[in-house]
Amino acid sequence: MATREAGKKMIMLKSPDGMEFEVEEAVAMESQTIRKMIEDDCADTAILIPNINSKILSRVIEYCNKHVPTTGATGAAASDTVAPAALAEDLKIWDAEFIKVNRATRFDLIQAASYLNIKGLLDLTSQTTIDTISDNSLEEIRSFLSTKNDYLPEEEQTIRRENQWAFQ
Amino acid sequence: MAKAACVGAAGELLDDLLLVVFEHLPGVQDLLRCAATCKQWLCLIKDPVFLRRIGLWPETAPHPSVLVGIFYQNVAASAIQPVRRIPDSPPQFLSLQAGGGHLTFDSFVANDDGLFNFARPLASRRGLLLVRILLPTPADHQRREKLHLAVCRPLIDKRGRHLLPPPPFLVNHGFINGLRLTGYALLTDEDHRAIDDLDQQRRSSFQVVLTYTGANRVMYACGYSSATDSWSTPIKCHQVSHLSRCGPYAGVVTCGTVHWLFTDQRSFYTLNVSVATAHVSLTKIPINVHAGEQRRRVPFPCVTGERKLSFVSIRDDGVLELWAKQGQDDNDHGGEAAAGGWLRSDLINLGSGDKINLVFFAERRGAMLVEQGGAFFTIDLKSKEKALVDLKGEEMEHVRGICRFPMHRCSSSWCSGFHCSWGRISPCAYNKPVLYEVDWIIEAR
Repeated sequence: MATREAGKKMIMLKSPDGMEFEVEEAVAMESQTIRKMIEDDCADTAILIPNINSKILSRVIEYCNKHVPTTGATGAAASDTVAPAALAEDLKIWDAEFIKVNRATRFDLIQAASYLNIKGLLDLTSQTTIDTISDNSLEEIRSFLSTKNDYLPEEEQTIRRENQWAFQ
Repeated sequence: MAKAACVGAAGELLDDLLLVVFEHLPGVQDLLRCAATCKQWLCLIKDPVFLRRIGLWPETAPHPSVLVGIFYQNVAASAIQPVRRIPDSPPQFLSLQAGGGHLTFDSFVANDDGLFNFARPLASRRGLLLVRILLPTPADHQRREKLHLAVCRPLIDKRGRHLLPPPPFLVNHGFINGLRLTGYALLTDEDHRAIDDLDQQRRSSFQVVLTYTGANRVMYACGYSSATDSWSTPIKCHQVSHLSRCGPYAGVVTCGTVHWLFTDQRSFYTLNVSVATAHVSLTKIPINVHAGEQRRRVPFPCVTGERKLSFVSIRDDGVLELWAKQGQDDNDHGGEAAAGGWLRSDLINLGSGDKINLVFFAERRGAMLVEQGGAFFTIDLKSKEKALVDLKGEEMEHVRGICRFPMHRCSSSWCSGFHCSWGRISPCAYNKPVLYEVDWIIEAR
């Protein structure tokens, strides 16, 4: 339910497992998906976020809270006395801590970021996966991302041979 | 609104999300590695919709293709003493792929024996690269010597270096008197007949065509075929004896015919050499030499999607014009008709602020590749769209044109074709960079 508290418009987000989260509109609007709903006036009552359980949704909200353009909402370091560069550095450290989660959680976060269309979170969550792909051998990628190698040895050999430059 | 994501077994990324991750990958190499991981990923990656979205396959291009990079050689072997071997001077390579900064010539072509040291890349087509190699010569070498050429397939077959037998004429290193190379071109079977099967394309044979002038200023054309491993008898091109060559040395190929640009200081002409029939002809093109232009830009030859020879000319105000010859049944007038069925249309305005340094024709992409102000972008000849070649920031440091291609105006693949030395105007003989593009070859079997 959209309510007012201390002059700030609040939005209710509901996860499919029945938990409700009341967040500031500005925070919720970090998600382009929710922003669109609000702009289209579809957000009078609580917004149900399908497919994202309360555990993940609370983490997403935590992320948005931290990354919402600073109006003092997060209470933390967002004051005028902090230089923007230091603030960005602070955010980076915070992000690095935030993403220290197990693989299943990270994939859930990618999915949530993709559905809710939160670019920063999507970049952050997919980056580790991207790094894995860029830095490791095929075997390591496979084991990391739980995919099964269903190529015949000669098929894989052909692909490797014809694209040698990708495997150096 | 984003489409609903689907829930999968824990710990597994689902197709939609995989595509999101793939789209974020820095370079094509990573994409290739993913495709080699499992068949499910391969299917996702070779999907045309995905390839279009990430820019590997514009709507206007017949095949998906990769602009891999640019081969160039800045180390000049001295004209008189060409080969005192110093190691590690094969052609250099500038990757146009994000994350490809580590790629060197040696990572594409085996060069353990130093064969390609001082080699000059000349032309590239369909994944093949034609280079001129400089072999060691005896100390008392004669000033005329054999021309050594090699063709390799950089990404496809690292060890596949094909050394051509010397052509039936000798060339000078000194570019002063005697025989001089004036043009070269590389053709594949695909230029003579349609080959759709990529596998067939990879095994196809190739032809090389050279033009050269003798001491009497007569020009000859001579062809090599890999199928017979032999050179043809040189044919005389008397049509151009009163003209000077200009534009790129690497000829443009359409329908089995190679075209080079010539000028008589008033008009431009193309010399057309058909490889199959050895027929030679000269065509006047309606683009005039602009007397008032500050920079002596010559039109840049390219080929439109309909396999017609076209030209792009750059005006001083930075407007690129496309000149295309219309077919008899073409009534779609998007531009202004000129003599002989040529149609001129504005391609794009790049502004006159930043100098346009390099211009290549990316045949597979159906686009021009332009370097201006340190950034590379493509201009699609059909859709006229400009697209930045996104190196994701990491490579811009060394892409900055000037340090990579220090040859001043001659680093341009289409410098005016002349330079002055000691008051004489002579044909520009600098090494030109060569754009290397390949078809996106990954396929399910």
